Amino acid sequence: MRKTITGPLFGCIVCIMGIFSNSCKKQDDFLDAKPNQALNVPATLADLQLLLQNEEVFNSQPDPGLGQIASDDFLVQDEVLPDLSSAERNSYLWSKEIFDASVTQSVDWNLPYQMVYYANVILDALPGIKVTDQEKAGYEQVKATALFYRAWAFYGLVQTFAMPYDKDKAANLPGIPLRLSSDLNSRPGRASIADCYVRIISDLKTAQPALPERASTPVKPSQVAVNALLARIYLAMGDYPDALTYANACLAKFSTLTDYNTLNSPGTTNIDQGFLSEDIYHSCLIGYAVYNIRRDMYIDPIFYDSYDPNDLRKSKFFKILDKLPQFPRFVGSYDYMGQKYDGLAADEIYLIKAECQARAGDRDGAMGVLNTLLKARWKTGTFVDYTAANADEALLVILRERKKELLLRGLGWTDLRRLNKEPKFAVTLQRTVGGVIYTLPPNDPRYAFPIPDIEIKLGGLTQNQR
Amino acid sequence: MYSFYKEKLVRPHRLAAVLMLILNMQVSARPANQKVSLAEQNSTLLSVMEKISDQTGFDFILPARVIPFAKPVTIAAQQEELARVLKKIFDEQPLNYELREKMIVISRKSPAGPVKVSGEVLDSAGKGLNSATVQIRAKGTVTYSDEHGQFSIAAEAGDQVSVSFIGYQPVLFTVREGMPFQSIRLKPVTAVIAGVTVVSTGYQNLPKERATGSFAQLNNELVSRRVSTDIVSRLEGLTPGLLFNRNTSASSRGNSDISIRGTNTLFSNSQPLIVLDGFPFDGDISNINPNDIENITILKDAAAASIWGVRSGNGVIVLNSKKGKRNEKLSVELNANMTASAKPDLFYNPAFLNSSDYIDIEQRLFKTGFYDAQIGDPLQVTSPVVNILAARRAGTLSAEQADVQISLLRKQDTRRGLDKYFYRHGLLQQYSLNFRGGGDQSDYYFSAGEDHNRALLAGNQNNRITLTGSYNFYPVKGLQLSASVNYFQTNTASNNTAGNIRPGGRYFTVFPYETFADAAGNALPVVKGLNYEFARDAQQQGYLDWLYRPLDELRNADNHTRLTENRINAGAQYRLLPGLDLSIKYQYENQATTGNNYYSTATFYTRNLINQYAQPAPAGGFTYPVPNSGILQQNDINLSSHRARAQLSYDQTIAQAHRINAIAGAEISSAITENRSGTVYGYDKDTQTSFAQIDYLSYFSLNPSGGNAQVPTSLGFEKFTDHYLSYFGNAAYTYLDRYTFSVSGRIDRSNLFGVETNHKSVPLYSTGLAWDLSKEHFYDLSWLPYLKLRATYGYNANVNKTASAVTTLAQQSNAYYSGVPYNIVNSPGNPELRWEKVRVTNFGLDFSLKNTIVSGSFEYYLKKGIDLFGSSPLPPSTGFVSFYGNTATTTGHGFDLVINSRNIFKDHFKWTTGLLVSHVIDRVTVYDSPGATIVYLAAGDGNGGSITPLAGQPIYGVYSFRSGPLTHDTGDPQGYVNGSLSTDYNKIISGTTVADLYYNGPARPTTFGSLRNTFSYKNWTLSANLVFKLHYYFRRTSTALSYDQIAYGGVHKDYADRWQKPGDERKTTVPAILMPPANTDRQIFYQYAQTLVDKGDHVRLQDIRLAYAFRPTGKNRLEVFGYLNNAGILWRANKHHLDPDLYTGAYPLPRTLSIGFNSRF
Repeated sequence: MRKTITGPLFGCIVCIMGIFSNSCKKQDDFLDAKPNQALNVPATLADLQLLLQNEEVFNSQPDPGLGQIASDDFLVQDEVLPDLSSAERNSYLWSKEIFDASVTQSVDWNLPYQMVYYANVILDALPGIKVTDQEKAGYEQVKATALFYRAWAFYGLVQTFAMPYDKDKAANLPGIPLRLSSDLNSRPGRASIADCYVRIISDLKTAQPALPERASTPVKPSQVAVNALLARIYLAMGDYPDALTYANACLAKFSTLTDYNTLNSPGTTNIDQGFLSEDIYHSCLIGYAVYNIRRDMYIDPIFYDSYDPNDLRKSKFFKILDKLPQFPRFVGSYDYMGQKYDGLAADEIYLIKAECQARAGDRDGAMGVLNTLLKARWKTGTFVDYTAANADEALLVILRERKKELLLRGLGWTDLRRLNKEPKFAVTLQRTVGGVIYTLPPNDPRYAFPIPDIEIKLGGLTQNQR
Repeated sequence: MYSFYKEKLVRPHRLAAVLMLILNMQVSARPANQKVSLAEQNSTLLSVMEKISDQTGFDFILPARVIPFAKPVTIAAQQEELARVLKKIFDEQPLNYELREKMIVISRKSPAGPVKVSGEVLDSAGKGLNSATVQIRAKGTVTYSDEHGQFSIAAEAGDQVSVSFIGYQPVLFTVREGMPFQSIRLKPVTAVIAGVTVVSTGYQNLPKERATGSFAQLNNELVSRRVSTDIVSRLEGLTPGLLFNRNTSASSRGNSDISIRGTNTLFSNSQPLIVLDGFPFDGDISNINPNDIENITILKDAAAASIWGVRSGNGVIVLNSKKGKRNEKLSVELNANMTASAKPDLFYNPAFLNSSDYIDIEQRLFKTGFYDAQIGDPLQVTSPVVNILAARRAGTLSAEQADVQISLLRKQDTRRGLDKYFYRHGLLQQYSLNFRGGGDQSDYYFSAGEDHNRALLAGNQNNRITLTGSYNFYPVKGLQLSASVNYFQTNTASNNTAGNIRPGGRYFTVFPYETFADAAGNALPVVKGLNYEFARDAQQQGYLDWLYRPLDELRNADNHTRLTENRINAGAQYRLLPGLDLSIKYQYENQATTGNNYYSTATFYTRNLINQYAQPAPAGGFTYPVPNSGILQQNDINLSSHRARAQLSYDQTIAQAHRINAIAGAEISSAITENRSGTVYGYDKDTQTSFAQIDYLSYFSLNPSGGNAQVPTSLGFEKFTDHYLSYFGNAAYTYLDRYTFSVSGRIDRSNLFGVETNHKSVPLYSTGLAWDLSKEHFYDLSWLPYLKLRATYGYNANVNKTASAVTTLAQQSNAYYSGVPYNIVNSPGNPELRWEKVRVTNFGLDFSLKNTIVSGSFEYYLKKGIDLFGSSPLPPSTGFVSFYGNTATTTGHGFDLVINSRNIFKDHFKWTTGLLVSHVIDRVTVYDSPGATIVYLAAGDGNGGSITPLAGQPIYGVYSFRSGPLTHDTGDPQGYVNGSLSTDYNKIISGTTVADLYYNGPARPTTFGSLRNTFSYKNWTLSANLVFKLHYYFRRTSTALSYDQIAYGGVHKDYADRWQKPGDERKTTVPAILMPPANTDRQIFYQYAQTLVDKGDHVRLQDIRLAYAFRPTGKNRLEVFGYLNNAGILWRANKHHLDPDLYTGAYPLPRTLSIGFNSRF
């Protein structure tokens, strides 16, 4: 009796011990099971493509917005200033300190670097991925897309946290840390402003060939978008010939302007209910509270009145709410989801081209480009071409129209930084709040925002002197 | 002349004698004289033989192994023949003698045939005693009873067998041929309730006297003492070191939040592991029927718990089910009880302002034009009073009408309506029936239980059915086959909507004058989410009715959850060799939860959604992206686990003095949880069909807000897999029943961390020592007959699933613009991940005074949390603001004191006391990422569920701003800027660093325990349990400091005590209330000022139990009892009559009264 029981039982023991110890392979499989089915390691091209589709990180509101608040595009009612975050309020008043001691993090700094991290995760993972010949193009496109996004983020950071580009000083002034790997332990320090621009431009040029000429959706980069971005960057650097080259290259493939007469479904913050046909690359500013609180942010009524009654922008960009004409409200964002659009659209490229042509002395060419743009903004049949006596006057007209066209598009701050270098365009900004006058003279060190203290401390960076 | 005999000797009298006998058995020769004279009364055979030898010169050989069988000799002989004397002596002895030349050789009578004695050892309640010592006195052979109290020992007829168990009077019986199964019932040494003295780790059962670790036990009497549907709450006030955290948000939501000996983690799961019948219980613990639980062991230190490896860090609660017993007649247990609960006291909450004061504030604000911008805006919620005032101003309501309406509202109190319609008396009914018994080759246990729980919240209820069957089969000697099946089903209705009545908009509290029904009982609408006038007139614009009527919501709610759990166990145990057992166990568990929340078109949820999404059609009217029919929200959770274990156990006494008890084994487990959720539109509940085609992709402009949104879909799928492969071992060696040395170790490997670190397989181990001082021969404290010292050291660990060794991505659906699927980086890789470990050193002392007048234990422990998960800051340019890894450490220490005393034991009256005192301090020692000042103020106490660590401080602490008296002129609160009083609140807040914060003290009780007195007179027993929690702090709520903030919901009865005129600062700490705009800094300063922190210390009469037992002894029992729970607070340190053991906004647990009976026959 005992024997008959012992036999099978012993068999069982052997079996179980076998399961536990013998089959290493099975054991590894067992222990490699995903703890959470939704998780993945970045191992395939598809994983990385899905990562690039993260529009929250790359498109919806990753771009630094303190400069927009500090520029002269809009005003804030005195009463609501205390309700804003300290970073918003301090930026609006051009305070020396932007971040209160209790504020340790800045989304203006963190979100672009989050974009950089995502791009670096992709760039770091790519060498480990084997692809077939058919997948090669997709592989290169993933890489190019990541490079574009990283360059975009670096550019936004440089506009906010480093002084404006100045050919003579750029090699000696600190820019931003150029993080080129996803390693959390690396501490790259601040590269020079010159190096930052070099890196941004070279990454864009590296990326360009592998991108599609035009993207299926404006949230994705394309060759056209690279040209547009390079035009924007060279303009910011004051390199007008190069800016013109890339503006032309862009417009050669993408010259669509949205006729504002065809806009018919505005939202409470946005000009239309979808991507505009002139949208080349879609991205938005960080959604600061100042844009969202009811009625607090408004456009200078004088500026509002400067729009021609036949200029559709007057009605498409602005709304008079609650019968308060002293507080025109901006409702003209190109982002149909209600964020403040700061992406690349054809209108900006037209203006870059016009400006560069005017600066090159080509009055007629410049005015022709400007008029093409404005015609798409006027009520059908009402537009009368603008004229200028000479190239200098053309430049003045173009810069005036640039401000009116690109209001609240995240470009005003860079324009101020750039134009302040030219004495004839330099302005001292001034605001009066609660009877106190605040000013920001041209080329002031406050044109570079301070880097958040936590980064200075942990990243070992030098702070901007304001 | 010496005769040498090499024999094992047992001669327990004097050392000298023993030594002599060990060396040899000698008797010297004297001149031969064959006459003997003796006069012996109960003398030992040896001494008698010595005398004979002296007188006769005969040597004798008395082997030591024979001595124990010798009976005392009583003989009187006067110069009698040696042979005759010897015959007289040995006629009375179970011994033979042989008279050789000059020598008497004594041997045992021809041995009787071996008799197998088997039986069971029971306690006075008839429950098997595990590891009772069964010893054949003469031979010293020892065996121990098994977990059912059963034993079997090979003896010979005539052997005397003693059965002993610590705390019980030993029993002696003589072995006879053909002995039946012995049922031996031990009587306790005293009538004090002896604890279960066998502790269970889930892997093995150990007699507590030989355990080195820290165990706490609840026997069935204590498990059955309270009345509840869940098992966990029965531990309260009965378990040293175990604290119920009642003041946390988890507790306020009805989840159990307990800690054993404090907190050993910062961000990982902090709840103890629950083990049921040897396997971790994956399901919802609240489904276990307490009536099926026999006893509970709580494992507190490393030696006790480390066998559970990476899940042991928070302590382990081991539940053992009731089981049948072999050779036991069928017994039936029937328990039934009914519990009635009072309604919660809605008038307790101090955050309430009476209607009249509230209306005064609203009128005051209205006059200043405060509401003007909101009136008439469909998106702005305004209160009924504001609406009346606006109508009067607009002329649509006359001044008289307005006054009448307002004065009516002044008399309303919304709490009356809530109390009347949304709360009710709770009623819990509990029935349980079980059968158990066993034959020669099997035993069985079957039970059925049913619970009906009518909750305090109207509309909510919970019913449970539990069925259990377990069967053990013993086909041949040494083999046990086991199988059991458990089935639970719980049906829960969650139809109460009291939490949804808040008006929304800027208002976060229900208006104090809101009413829910008119005089005829018809449901009345309240302000909800939208401007009331807009909602009222919405139907004229073509919308569906857009009003919210709380009573209709209550009636129309249809939210049901069904949980079904099946658990199947199978096992086999086989005795390979004496003392060596192999056991194999397997468990399958499946728990399926199906939640259906059905919103008919009568519900506000559905009407609101339809209205919000209604799109104006070009031809007029609307199109409906959300169809005008019912909505069903589904949520299914399915959990299934397989666990298997093979284990070798060895338990043997070697050469009497050495006892080895060891286990080793391996275990594999796989638990998979899958969640699915979804929303079905166009659902017809009657036909269970859905007709709707929904456009989930398009964005629709919402009414009336104008925002854009897609039709919400809660479609989601989740799957979690936990795989473990573990090896474990545990060994205890006991020498002379005095010294015990134990070691245990475990290696866990799991799929949790990603690949690299996981495979390093660092073992968790513990070691322990125990010394039963009172068994030493030099020990002679007769007043303290039992004294044992213990010390253990080792590691427990904790699992954290949120980090991973490799960079992980998580797929999401619906990218921001294009709606396509996309990935997020879920966590950056951390190749250095490790388990969180807790190093525990435990010192224990167990004692018992003479007659166990006082007995108990004292344990002191030191803890160190190592490699705890915590955040360390990163430069944000890395893409992350913090790094989550094994960067934090904590330290802690404390003690547990248990004292049981028999105060009076006289005739029929008995009074016993049980006192538990625990003390624990937990401190963060390393934490690199301190938060902002405001975070410590708002969340330092951790009651909201998350810990905000601060190096050098307790894990849970209450922090505040230092504050001075109110100013004389303005009644402003004062804080400190640079050490001097100030009302510059912005400076106070921005200038107070974390280091400057005033630390009031710990937020969790650091000293706590209970005092239980039990009185019995004849068949009556009365017991009462006091629970005390000492030395901790809590933050009171108070009023908002500006009228607008009060109007928006910052209400509090402190408003009545506000500073109103100079001089008031002498009698109040409530500042002056200001007109808007609100100074939020002033508000924040006051909210977190020192003045609003109180001591939490309190003593509570937890419960009283009165029982009458019809047959207090014997197998058949019937006990009838009454039980009063949550009896009330006897003393509290705070002067505001607040219950400090409550989460903010929660109501005190209402008193409950139960009656019921427990019977067994």
